[in-house]
Amino acid sequence: MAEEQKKNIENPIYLRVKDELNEVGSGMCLAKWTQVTLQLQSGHNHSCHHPRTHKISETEIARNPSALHNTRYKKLRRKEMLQGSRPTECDYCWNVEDNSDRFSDRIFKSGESWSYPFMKEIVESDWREDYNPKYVEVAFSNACNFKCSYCGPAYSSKWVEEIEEFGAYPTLDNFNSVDWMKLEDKMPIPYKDANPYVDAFWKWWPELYKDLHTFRITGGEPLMSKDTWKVLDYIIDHPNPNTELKLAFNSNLGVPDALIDKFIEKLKRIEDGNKAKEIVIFTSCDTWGEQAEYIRTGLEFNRFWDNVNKILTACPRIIVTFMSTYNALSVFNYEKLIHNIYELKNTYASTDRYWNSATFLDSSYLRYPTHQTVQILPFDFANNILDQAKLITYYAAPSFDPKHIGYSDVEVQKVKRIYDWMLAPQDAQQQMKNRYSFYQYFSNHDIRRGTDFCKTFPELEEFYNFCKTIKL
Amino acid sequence: MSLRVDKDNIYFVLPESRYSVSNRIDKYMEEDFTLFIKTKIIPDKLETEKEAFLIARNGMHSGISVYKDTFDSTCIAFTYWFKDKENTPSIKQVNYRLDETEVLESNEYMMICDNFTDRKINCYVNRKLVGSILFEDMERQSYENGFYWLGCGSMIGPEEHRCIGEFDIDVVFLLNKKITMDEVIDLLDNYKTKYTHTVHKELKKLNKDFYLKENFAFFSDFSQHNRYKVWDISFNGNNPQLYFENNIYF
Repeated sequence: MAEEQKKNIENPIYLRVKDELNEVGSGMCLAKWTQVTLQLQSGHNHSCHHPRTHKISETEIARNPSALHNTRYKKLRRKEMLQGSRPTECDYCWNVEDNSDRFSDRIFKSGESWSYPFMKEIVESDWREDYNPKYVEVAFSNACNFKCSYCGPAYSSKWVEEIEEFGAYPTLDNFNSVDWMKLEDKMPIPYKDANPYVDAFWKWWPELYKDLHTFRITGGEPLMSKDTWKVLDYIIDHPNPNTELKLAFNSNLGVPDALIDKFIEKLKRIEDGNKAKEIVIFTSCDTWGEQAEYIRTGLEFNRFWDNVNKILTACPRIIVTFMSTYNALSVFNYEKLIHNIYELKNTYASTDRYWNSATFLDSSYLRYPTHQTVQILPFDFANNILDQAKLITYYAAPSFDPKHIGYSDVEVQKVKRIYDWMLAPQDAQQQMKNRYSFYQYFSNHDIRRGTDFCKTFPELEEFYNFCKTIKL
Repeated sequence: MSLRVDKDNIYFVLPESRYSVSNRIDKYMEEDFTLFIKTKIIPDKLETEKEAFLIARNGMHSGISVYKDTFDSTCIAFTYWFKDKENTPSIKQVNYRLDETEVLESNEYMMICDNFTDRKINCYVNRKLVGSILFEDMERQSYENGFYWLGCGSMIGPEEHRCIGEFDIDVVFLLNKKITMDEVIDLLDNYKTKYTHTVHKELKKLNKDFYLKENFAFFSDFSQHNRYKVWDISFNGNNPQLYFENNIYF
């Protein structure tokens, strides 16, 4: 506790944010106004990733397109906040605050540069008022040419096709059954069908764009959506572009070459014309080579890597961040990813960027589906992860300074965290269930997709055969 | 291949990795140990009677250093710090004058410490015993939290402790174990082929089953490095890293 208190003392900015929020009420959080994730493929949104998404009313957006964010539901939560209450849906933060001295995410999110400057106008506003968010993440559709092993129909049209053809996987949790999506009214609207949420977005966009701090397009695969191209053209053609905008894309960089070339051409026009402050491409890669291809069905690894190089060569100010969902199948070749991302950092280092590194590795451990996490593996494999932590330490920048080329503190610590998490105590019975589902999932994966697990992961053949024998 | 170490390129090894990926190695020179360095000395850069350290522990400068004597000969000094019963520090050294042929190319310098039986540190130049440091009734200084410097005595103490030199370092290793000369020769002859495997391009890693693997604090071939760090062949997580102000934290 003393250590945590010390941290709080050392962060006067967060203390000030907390004090100012608490003057309104202990439930106040600016993210309810300033941030939104729009899942237009299903008509859902939330203003932070902790509360569940809620349905956007078609009636509301017909009258007021900003109700994509300013829903009646959300306004009622804002009312609670402005009147000093704590919305129940935000219990993630209340748990943190009530059970520790740590700052909760409401402090961090409210302290962001896209939130804090607007504190006064928000606090003085009426809860019924519409508010244009500054940080917007949007998925226009679930159209995607990949079906990654831990993803699902909500985010991939390829997954929808597979589940329609074969049904859910016979794991203990019926992995990727669409029943819950139907229950929660989250079934994606097919890409080619009319989508009232996308229509509303385009009505709202001109007003939204001018004050945006960050705009991040996700999916599905954004480069397969015509709306992504429309956004790019809008920025390119705008006579008075928002030059403070941070533009980001979550792309698998595995779409046909013509689309990659078109993407580069448009990014260059934005970059060369100084029509945005920063452009970041978030892409995904969970290990190296053939094993990475197995995890992310649709990935052609060498073409993917060529595309990363192509973008970094053509666009000297763009940053590529590799979002790595470290799972049980990442363990055997992750060091190759670490070596090669370091080489990208070295090759494309440039003082044109605030951070001289052109690439970043964001390693997060997979938590769900539980049958694919590193925690299902025998403990011995943790040594592989420790070795990867040692390797990324070797490539670490010597101090926290934008001019140094190498892995940052956060990039290193996130790999070490995977090791620590793998060794965390587990419920043995639950682990056995997860291992049972592991075999059920990958044996069916091989049948449905024509893959060969043991050939691709010879390191896991013994474990795979052990999981096959589990009877529950 | 070697790496130039000079006033702008000084390396150090921390007692523990900044990210806790290694065991602590600060006390590795307090019992049996083998310290080896292969390097080329640049005699023109040496000053008369001024020591320049190839490798040193900070605080108490145990290690290996070079200097020019008053006859302009290049000398090597093997140093170890002790304390007597009154806790007064006491330095013991073996000094050896290198002949002219010994300073032309890279040479090997080594200290092998037998802490428990003979209580002495044997000092070698090019595999030839040149003297021994005897413990007698002295106690050894503690190196708790102390780290290792390559190319200087210490950059964090008083100015007179800098003892900066200019060398081309080839190989350095430290073991928490005494090994025989035959074992040293076998290791040096075979580490590039028999006892290691390639992990990426020129980077090699000691095989997991190599009998000394867990005994290395670090084992670095200075031809293998990135912008700021030298590769540790033993892969125990202790990489020599480039020093500059404010980057000593762990």
